[in-house]
Amino acid sequence: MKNLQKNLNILLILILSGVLLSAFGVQFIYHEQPCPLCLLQRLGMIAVSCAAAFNLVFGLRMSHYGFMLLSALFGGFVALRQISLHVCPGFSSFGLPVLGLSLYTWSFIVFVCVIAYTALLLFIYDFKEESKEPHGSLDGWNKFSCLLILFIAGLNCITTLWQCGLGPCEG
Amino acid sequence: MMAALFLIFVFIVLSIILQNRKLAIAFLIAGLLLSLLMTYHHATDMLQINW
Repeated sequence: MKNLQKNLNILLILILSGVLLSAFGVQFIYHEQPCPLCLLQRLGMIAVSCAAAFNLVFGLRMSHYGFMLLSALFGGFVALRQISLHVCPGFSSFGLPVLGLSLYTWSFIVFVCVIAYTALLLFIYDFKEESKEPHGSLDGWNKFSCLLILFIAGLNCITTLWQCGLGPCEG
Repeated sequence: MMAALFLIFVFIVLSIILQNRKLAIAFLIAGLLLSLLMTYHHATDMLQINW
């Protein structure tokens, strides 16, 4: 059961990394510069990935799932706020639609799915094992997942610095 | 400032790789709080929306 939980955490990191890399695809291929709220949603996804990486490296703990939920709630709130800015008739949507929905709407769906996924992980969480849980490890897929998050966070840092400089990214 | 937020998350992952849990959690809490502050700044100062 512990291995299943760790594998599901790795799967979550890989899915979120795929979403973040797709956002880079839209940014570089279609030359769509991300808005400040889009960047905050990316931060939310990276924070969720970091919480999942906590489970892989430091062992499965309730507090890590708490951070995962908090990060997903933050990202969902930002996405919902951006939806509310454009949802009224007469207001144009922002950016390129994908399968009929804007990227921030997809982002909101992703965060809701993350919350549901975390609830699923908590269903199969073994509370008795937490105190006996040995320290996690940093090898194989765990290492690959951490390096993938590091790469994405670093790339976001560089592109944001390039786009916004040292300011608050007004746009 | 936004780039600095991403830099904090780079530090979080580096702390995880270096297996320093307390430092990683401190960075994560700081990162989430500063992200919230940035959201608030975006809503009030830039768009001037009355909540």
